[in-house]
Amino acid sequence: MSLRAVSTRTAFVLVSIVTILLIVGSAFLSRVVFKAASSSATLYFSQSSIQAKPETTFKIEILADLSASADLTGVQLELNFDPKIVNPTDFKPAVRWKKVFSKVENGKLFLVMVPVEDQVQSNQAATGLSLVSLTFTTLAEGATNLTLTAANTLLAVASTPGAKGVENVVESVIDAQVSVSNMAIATPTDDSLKVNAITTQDEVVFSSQRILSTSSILTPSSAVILVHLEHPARVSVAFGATTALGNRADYSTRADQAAIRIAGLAASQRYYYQVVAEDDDATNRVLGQIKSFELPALSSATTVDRAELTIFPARAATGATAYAVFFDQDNKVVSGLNPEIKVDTDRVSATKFSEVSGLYQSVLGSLETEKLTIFSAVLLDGQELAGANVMFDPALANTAVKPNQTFLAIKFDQKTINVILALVAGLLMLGVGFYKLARAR
Amino acid sequence: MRSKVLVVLVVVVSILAAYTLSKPITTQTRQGTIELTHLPDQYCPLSAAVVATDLDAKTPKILLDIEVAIDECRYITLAKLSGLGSEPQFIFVKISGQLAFRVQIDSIKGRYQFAPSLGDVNNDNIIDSNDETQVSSALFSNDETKISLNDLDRDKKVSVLDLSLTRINRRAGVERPDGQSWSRS
Repeated sequence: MSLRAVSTRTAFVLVSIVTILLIVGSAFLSRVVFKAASSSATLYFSQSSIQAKPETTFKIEILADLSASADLTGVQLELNFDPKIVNPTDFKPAVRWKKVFSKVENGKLFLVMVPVEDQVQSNQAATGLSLVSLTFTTLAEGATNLTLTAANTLLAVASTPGAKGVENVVESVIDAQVSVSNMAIATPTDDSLKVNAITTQDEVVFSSQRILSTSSILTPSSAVILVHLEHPARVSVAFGATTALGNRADYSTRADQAAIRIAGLAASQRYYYQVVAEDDDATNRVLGQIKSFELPALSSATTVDRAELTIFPARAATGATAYAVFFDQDNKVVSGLNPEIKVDTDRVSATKFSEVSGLYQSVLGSLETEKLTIFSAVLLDGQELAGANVMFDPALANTAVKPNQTFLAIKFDQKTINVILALVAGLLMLGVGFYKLARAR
Repeated sequence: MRSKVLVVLVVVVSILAAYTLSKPITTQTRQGTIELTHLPDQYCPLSAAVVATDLDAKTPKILLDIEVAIDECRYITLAKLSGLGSEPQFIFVKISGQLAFRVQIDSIKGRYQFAPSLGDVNNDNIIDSNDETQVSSALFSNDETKISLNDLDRDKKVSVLDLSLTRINRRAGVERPDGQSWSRS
């Protein structure tokens, strides 16, 4: 074998290795880097219901649940209350946060906080992350809700690596009931509290809007209400321990498919809920039926008997979320596991599961330009426990949806993928050419 | 001999394949532009101060110094920069609210990208505590003037998102090659 032939063979091997590294590297990047900022947050109060006597004070914390790791860069709150009943008197930011703006005006508390350092890093999914402790003074007897305005309640997070921007990750906000009474120990009656402007009497059906489906995913301390509407709308869920539905969770953006997480609930407790779809100015409204669920208890065991996997939306343009919950033999929820998600094609990526209070979430993403149905399964210790199908259809994306992924300022749209494929094909063919040449010599 | 012919054919076919597949891309993408990337969707700067110099690092010669329109909120079209020669050169860009940056271009037909840093609300080309203080004082404001000056992401309100930009992007922008202030240009 001559030296020249060896060199050519070496070149062929090198080209092949580089090609494989490129393919593996791009697959790794698409799974790890592109999904790095796919966190979402639910903001809620440390107590969903408070009873107090007039002219006393009470404290309540605002908490956040994060579905994945994130670099928090700021918090903005717009809190609504009835100024005749309660008045905020003090705001104490949580450790590592400082207040930069606060104002109380016309029954609204405006509060902005930033990290003491540049950012607060949450290295994993978090539940019950304390943001601020509020002190209220009660003024007179009555009932009010502490409601966070979804449009102006923001949790700023530094966006994907390489970018110099920030994004809001708040997906839903949940309110708290306050009942001020001289008989404060008594449980509020069912009709003493009303969710802001939501009563079953003022239903106005707007044009062709319909609630197509509603379902729920339950854990010991939270529930995810999955809502599918005929048309995009502002979606919220009125909920409570009775059919009076005293609390409300708002989805932060206008959507026709919304997953609204209600956190801060009690295990083994029955809750009632009703889906509300409103138009932009909240004048027209469609109400769903009042439904109920009972939260499962938390298991002390680590042995899993079965799992439930839900992928929402079941038909998506480019992205969907897989929710998994694991149960023991007594139907109690098992937490602290290390499950994996598997998809039956490498054309769809899936992030690692992150856990919040027994609920495991993974983001599925597709860059395909063709319609694609995939099967996804949840594995625990290599054993497949549950599976579900999801269809990705790029045609579902409207003009507002931007499927392009960017990394290091390169747009990974279909055209770029074509170029990469062409280059890989060229490299492979060159490799074959080198190999033939080597054999000929 | 047959093998050599085969190799030549393989190379030619692969080049042709690569060219054919990439052809629609070259015609559809924006050649001859500097594309501004990683910006908020609704952010739409209208113009940019542009200074071009040769590649001489010590005594750069200024080839042009103009204000140009930004196409489709994202593109600085190099063909619009009259006086730009065919030689490689540095293009310095300053856009209101952003730090100035520099891009080296090899040809006015090339395609270049840059992710600018937002947060310079007082336009002194440094993102620092002054910008943070200015945005803080405008939070939740209904004053149109304050909103237009401090709404960095152009979502029509001054929020913690704008404030965060002044904190995570703290640094100085690229200086003008002639040492003058960008605000005076």
